[in-house]
Amino acid sequence: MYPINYGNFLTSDEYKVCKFLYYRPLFSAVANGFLLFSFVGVILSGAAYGLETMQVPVESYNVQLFDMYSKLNNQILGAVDVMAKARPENVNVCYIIKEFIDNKPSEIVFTNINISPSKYVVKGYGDSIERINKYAKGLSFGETKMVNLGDTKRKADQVDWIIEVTNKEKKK
Amino acid sequence: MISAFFRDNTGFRRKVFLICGLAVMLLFGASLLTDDFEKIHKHNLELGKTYDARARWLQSFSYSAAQDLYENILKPVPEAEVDRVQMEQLALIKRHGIDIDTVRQNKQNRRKDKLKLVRYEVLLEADWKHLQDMLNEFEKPNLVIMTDLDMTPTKEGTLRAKLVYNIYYA
Repeated sequence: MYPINYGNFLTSDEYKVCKFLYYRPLFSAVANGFLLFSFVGVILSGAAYGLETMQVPVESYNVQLFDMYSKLNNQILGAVDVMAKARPENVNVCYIIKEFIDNKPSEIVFTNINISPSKYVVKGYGDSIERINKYAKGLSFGETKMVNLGDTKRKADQVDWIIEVTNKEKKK
Repeated sequence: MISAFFRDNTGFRRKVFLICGLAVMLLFGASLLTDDFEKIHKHNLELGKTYDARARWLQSFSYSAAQDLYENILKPVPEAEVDRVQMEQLALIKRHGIDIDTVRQNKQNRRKDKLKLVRYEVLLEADWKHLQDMLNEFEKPNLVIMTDLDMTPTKEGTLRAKLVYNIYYA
């Protein structure tokens, strides 16, 4: 025998109320579940926060020793900084003279050496322009300096020359 | 069904709303606590790394070597000792058998980088060997920096030099 659906004898509103009453425990469970979820969340977050505040790392070194060492280190850094600033354009007269003299072939004679922070000029004479040119090319004053062989004048059996060392133009 | 829930007058609706409100507040509190936890955790991690780095640095740092280095770095002299240092520089020149023609002191000035200095200019006459030896010793043991040098040979076979240097003081 087949079941026969005779329909519903409740009104639409009564039907909705009944349905609501039927599902009320579900409403209650969802609300309580939400509350439980939030409660567990706040407990876990609080526990994590509390543990983390208690686990502040402690110094694994001698703090007084570190303060003493770092003070000396800072003094060294400060003194080196002052020393570096004290040399305008990093000019080092002894090094510059050494560079000019060490590379000088015996056939070349200096008549004047003029060193200033921004420019080093050497004047002299020699027997051939090739030798002077080779000498000038052999000079090195670091990447910020540029060596130029300036005016050369031939006089009888000697060549007068000027070498200028200037700052390279900074690239924009 | 939802409309029936909103029309409910049994107190059930109020309870559900109360529970949900409480849950939302707890969630908000949990998120605040999580934020704080993350901040403290990050801070603790950084602090731990810093402490480890300091411990390693401390092990590799040689205090005696650093002290030697600091003592050997040229430092500005006290202002009251500038004249004494200048006398020492002139004595050094004379010790190398170099004739001093003139000594000129420029005005004291303070550079843009706040270094204080006194600038001197001396005219000298010497042979190359003595001049070279003197120049090699000139910048020790105080913060005295040679900035300009102009050398020309004379007919007598010596060198005539104009030396400009700064004595830095603090």
